[in-house]
Amino acid sequence: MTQRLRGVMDLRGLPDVVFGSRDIMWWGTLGFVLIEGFTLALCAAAYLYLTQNFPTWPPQNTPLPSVVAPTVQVVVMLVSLVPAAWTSRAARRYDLGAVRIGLTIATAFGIAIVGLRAWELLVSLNVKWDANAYGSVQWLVLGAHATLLAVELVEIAGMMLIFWIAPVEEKHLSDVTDMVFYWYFMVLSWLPLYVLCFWLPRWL
Amino acid sequence: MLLQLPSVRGAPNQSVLESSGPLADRVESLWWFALITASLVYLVTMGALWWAAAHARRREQRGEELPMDDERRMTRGVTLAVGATVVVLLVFLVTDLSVGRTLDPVPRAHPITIELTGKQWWWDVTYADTSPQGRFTTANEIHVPVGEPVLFVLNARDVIHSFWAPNLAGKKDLIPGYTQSMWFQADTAGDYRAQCAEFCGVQHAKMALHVIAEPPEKYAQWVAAQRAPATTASDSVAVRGREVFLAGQCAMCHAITGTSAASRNGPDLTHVASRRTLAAGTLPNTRGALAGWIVDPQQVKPGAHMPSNQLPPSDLDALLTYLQSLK
Amino acid sequence: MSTPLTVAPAPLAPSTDQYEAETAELTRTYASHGGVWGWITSVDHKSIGKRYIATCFAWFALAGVNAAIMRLQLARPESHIVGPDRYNQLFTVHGSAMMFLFAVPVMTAFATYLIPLMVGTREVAYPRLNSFGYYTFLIGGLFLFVGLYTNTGPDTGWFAYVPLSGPEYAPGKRVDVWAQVVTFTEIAALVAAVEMIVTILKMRAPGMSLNRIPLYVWSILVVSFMIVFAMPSVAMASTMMLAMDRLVATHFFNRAEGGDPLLWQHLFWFFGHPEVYIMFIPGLGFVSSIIETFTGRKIFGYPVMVMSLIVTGFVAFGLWVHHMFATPIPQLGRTLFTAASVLIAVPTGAQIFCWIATIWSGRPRYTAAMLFALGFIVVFTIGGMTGVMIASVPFDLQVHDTYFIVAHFHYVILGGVVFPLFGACYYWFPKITGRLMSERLGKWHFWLFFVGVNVTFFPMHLLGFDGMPRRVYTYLPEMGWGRLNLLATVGSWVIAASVIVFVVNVVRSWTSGVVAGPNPWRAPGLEWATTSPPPAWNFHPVPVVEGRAPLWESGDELPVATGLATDRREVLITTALDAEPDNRHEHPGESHWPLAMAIAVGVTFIGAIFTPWAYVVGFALSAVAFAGWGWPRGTHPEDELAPGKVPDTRRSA
Repeated sequence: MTQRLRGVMDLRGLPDVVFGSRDIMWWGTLGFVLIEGFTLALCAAAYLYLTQNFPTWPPQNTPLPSVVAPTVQVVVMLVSLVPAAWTSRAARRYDLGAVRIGLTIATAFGIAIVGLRAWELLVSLNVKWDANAYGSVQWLVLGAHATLLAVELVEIAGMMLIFWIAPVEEKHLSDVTDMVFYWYFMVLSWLPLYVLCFWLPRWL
Repeated sequence: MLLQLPSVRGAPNQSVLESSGPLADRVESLWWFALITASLVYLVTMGALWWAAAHARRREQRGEELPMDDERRMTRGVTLAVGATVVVLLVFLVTDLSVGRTLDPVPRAHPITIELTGKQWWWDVTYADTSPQGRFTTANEIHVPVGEPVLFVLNARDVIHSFWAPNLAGKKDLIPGYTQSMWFQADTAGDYRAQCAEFCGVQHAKMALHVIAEPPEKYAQWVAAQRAPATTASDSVAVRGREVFLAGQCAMCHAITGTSAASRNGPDLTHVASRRTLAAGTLPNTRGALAGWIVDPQQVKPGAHMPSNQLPPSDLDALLTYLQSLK
Repeated sequence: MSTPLTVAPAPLAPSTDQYEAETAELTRTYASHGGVWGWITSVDHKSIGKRYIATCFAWFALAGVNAAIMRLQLARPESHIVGPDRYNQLFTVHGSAMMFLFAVPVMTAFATYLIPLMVGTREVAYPRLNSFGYYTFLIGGLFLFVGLYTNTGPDTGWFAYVPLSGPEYAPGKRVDVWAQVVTFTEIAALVAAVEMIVTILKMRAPGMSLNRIPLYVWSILVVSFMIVFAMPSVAMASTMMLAMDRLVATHFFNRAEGGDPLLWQHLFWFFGHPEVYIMFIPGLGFVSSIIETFTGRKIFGYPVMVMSLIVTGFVAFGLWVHHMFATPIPQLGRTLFTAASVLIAVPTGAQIFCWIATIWSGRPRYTAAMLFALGFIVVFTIGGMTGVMIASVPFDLQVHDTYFIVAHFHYVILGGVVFPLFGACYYWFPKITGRLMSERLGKWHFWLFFVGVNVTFFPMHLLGFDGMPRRVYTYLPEMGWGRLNLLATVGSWVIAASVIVFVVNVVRSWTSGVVAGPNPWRAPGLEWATTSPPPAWNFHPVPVVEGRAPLWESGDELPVATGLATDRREVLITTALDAEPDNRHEHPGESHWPLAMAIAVGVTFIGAIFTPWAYVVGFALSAVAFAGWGWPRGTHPEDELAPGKVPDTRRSA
């Protein structure tokens, strides 16, 4: 360097493991929450747009979707928030044992929820994607959210494996809290879509 | 100005700047207003840029520093310029909206109504009428009386097309499954060319339509002729030609009223000989062009849905004679 | 959460010996694998940025060849150089490549290289994600051109309107290629946007509060947020709707089954219009950087400039319907969209006035970079003027889909994107390569390009008025469009010549240009505070910012912050608003997993053209790549978390 340097501060004392919005991984998670949340909102907008094209919704001769499995799923999702929050707090306490248990419970919830989603698509909807535009857009909304759920399940399960068998580093605790943050998004973004896909056809 | 140089300009019968009706007229005036305003704004802005550079150079040559209070002058200058921009834009916006308001309503209760349907790559034209006998169908050529508003009901069979006769009015899309309408009025007689403006596939380039504006009497004659059934073949060659038409591939897609050919897949040929062009404004309607088009349409319009027809010379000759008799 | 004061002033700069020892250690820490493998596994934003820029210019050249062939075909009526089928592929790929593979990603590419340097940090926020984004983009671009050269190039226009692009009217795989290229490029764009947002908000040098961010960095921040909200729309419409209509017979756009072709247009233009601003807002940032340096004074009206960028970013989302004036749209909607389209000219106008004031009060130096910045003002303003005109519904209905529009948006894009981009090349080339470009060739390049652009595109305004529609492969002789088309074709040769001059200049200057030194232009930005080209770690120690033009204000002593690790790839994380030091974050090292992940994604979407099972296979492959990417390597035993370990209060702060 040609310029002379004038030291004005020393960074040695700064922490290297932080949680929440101080951590850049949290910001990355937020970025993808924005993108995916907006994509889901656009799916919902497309859904509402297409309802205008039909005198009835669902169209004539298309049966209503069943609400049983979806409602069970919503309950399971809401319940899953409790262990998720508990795991996040355990991570902030550096409680390795509790995080391991929390991640295992989260994986079990994830499998149950993805399984219920598969059931919803194949059974509860009562319509195939190629029946008409109604069927297509039902599959679009459920499918888009299901894809995110499946990816998240892989991440949760992977994190669980890391915590059980890999050399865990302190920064992974921060990653666990970011994952829980993303899980909140998964659950909360589903609530309006659940109403849209399973209750709106009953009201329109 | 360059715009006035007729030597480089295109043909005047498909031009925004040669308006022949009230709608296109108002848009043309709007354009001249916009052009003059924009040119002034542009010249002032570029002048300011030039002046700024020259000013900086002079100051540098004199070795002067910028006085501190000049920041205030600059703020004032930029604020004024932004203010002026807002005013100019608002004036333009108001002018535009007032022009826009006058364009939409059709100025008559029961105008002549034409159902125009876009198909890959030609125009199906049906003149609506209150009685079924009054309706008639033609293709790729529209006749309208001068001085009368004409209403168009627009539709498309396959993909999106767009109807645009620049001398008469702005364009409107023809969207399958949607019915749109537009109107225009021709103030001077003439042969105006219209062309599909929305990309519609491989032969988008050769999908044109002629709008022929003529005095009301002439228009009435044309309507009467079009309503009449096709001329019956009289001489033996034409009779032979009709047989070729009905027995061969032709009748599978084309209709001629008064015969058994009634398919709407291709253009209606009842009065094909009365039209000025063939293949949606692509060829002049001459015997030679017609022969070329029938035998090898892919040479003229590659990708067109019309198949080639390898007819024996005598059959072709008879077919041409028949088709040319369909005035 | 308040930040405890962990930063103590360090009165002494590092001694020379210590500095050299630390530099040696950094060299080891940032060592690449070397060779081709080193290139593949590199996560250095500069390495990726350079190849990103080169890749974008390669697509620019190929798409430019398409344009040249199209111009030859149109030079005279009823020409038979190419037939309609080939022509439709050429113009579709030209438009798609210029939009999806050049104009937007080249801005991403430059940002990838420049942003960490300009905000004074060592890396982008997520280096491996950055590498993944590049490879995804590369696969997308290769796919498009392989498609074109194997006669499977998309042929329904860069906007792929249904039903023309739907299963019934576009059988074969051409449109599927288009839909998946869009998917690839949107993934890359979204990844880069998140990358830029976090780098800019969380990794700025201490002291670079929001009101001190360089205008170019602001422009990238605004554009990245726009990408986050614009790109999902087209990605959803193409990947989840159009491709599905074609692959598994969904009916999103099939009117007969309740679908809607206009839904496609809404989704496409909700992306497509902001896209225009996404392209040229970084151009505005380039121009600000160049004008600032070459007038030797800070840009006048910084708050106005920043507000203009932000306002443009917001209003850009309120214009999309003006591409749909010829479709059934309610009257009120049209009026609102017209008003927004007219008034968006105000913020851009304000920026132009601020630049003029800056020139007026500065000491302009007319280098090649500066000429391109001024050329931007001259050319872009014409496109802006015609843009205001076509906001008018009645006027737009006349010129929509004609060559007037072709002229308009080429003035906007060449003026607003390519002129600033060439300027940026001249301006930052010495930073990237360590050598200056030839000014003499640069001026030739500028004047040829300036003349070529105007000769090519100005006549097209007139052609549009005289009724020439867009996207026609030929026209009849009696239309009288031959002479102006020939003129435009001649202009295209001048553009080609100027680009050749540019390429010659790049090649010659790279190998034998004048050595530049750290700051050849006496520029104010932090990127000029390090060597040219910068070391893998960019800065050591990291710079501290005390004003808006750091190098002009710091005199001959650069304030720095010491203490960032040299034995690991550590970056400083600062607070979002005031850029106060907050924590240290360790970045990952070289990795081949981003490439593996990109290949998995490539297999998924290319396979999905043929079978929906590709999604299942691709999901499994991606999961494998994901595991390889995320699995801890255990490189630093001291970081490991042992059972029963309690939080270290100092470290978790």
